[in-house]
Amino acid sequence: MSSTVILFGDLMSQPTRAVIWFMMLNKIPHEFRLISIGNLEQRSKEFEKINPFKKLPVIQYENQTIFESHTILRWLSQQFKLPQYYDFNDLNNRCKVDMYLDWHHLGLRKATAGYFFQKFILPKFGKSESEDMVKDAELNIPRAFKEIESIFLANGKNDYLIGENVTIADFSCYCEINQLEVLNYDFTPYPILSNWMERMKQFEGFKESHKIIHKIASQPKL
Amino acid sequence: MSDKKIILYGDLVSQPVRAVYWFLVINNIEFEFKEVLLGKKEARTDEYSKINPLQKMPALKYKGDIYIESHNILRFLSQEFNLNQYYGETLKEKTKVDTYLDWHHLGIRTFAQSLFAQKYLMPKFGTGLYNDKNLNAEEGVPLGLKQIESVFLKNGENKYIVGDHLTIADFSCYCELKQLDGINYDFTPYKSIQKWRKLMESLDGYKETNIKINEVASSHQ
Repeated sequence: MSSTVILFGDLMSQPTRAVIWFMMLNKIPHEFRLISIGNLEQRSKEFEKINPFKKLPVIQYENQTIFESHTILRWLSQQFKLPQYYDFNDLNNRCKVDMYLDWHHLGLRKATAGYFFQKFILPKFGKSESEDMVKDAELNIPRAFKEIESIFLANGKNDYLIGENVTIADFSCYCEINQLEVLNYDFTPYPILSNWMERMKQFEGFKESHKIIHKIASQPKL
Repeated sequence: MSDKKIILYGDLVSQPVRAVYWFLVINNIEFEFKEVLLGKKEARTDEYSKINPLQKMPALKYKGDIYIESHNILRFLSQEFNLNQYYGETLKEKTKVDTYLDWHHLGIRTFAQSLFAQKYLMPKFGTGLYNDKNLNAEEGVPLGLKQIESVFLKNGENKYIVGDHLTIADFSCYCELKQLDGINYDFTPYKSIQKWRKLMESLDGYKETNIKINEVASSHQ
């Protein structure tokens, strides 16, 4: 079995970007296999055999298949001995990272991914948005951003989400938020968040992992 | 030091509070339970915000530190109290538990929580209170249940969520599904889930943990 990580995903997917960026930054040998969301390839019978949840990303390594991006990021940090991102020797450090990772799904992603789906994906398929879902997101995205600023970034005292150092939490969070640039989302009310976003862009692998989303973001808006 | 004692903040009508409470009881970990009543919106008070600025429950205090997010708390307790069987000894075992825990939020909780809000909380307390009108809950809950049945329980091949032994994933999953008893949700199409639920209900601490939600369930008949 190969000791290269095989990553199944699509750079349009936030969690796929978080995982590939993390591997690029840490020079973890990997092979990328595109599962095109636009063609609904993640729902194919073939892909279902790899991930029965029909979601991206998935990695395979030796004879292990792992899905759920946070599980993958925790696994990569431990398997490839990168304790600075998720410290397998320090339970309290892991708890801080885990606190963010657990909060992320319903605290941030539900609103941001829901909003993106309503505003970007549905129109592509000629469908109209759900007013309730948009309203829900418009209420919850600002709430989430304020919580990230005041609690995780500690009103600017923290350079990164859980303190002075970048961890796997930052990659997950960044890739989720960055998606909204496609919709020209206004980040000016969130200067602390914006500063952190600038800081994240300095990490190796950023450009490469975001090339598709940047291309879409730079296209003229209707 | 007196703060070596665990303080758990929460309300037993909350699914994740029950998961943590049950885990503490079953492992005979000494703790003090401080009720933060959801019905009275006590999680939104300034006082509670000092404990958990995210204004959610549960929160757990131990040796002066505060732990937030139920999965984080369950992982922490398993490791701090050397209950490694519940989270896993090896990276491979932990990864299996993590997969369920990470899937849980958007795989089942968001839908189960919305359905409960739509069918129980909104009619009882008015629509203005809850902005979470997740329109897909009626479809999302059966989809999540089928996935638990086929992917995690492997149609009965697995005794528990990640295999043949009990882990923290089971407590989280059980407590989320239990909420649906409050709206008389029909679990009969899910044979493996039903069997697994019975198994969970035979564990120590079940009755005590679920007393409030069982009251809700019986009043809704």
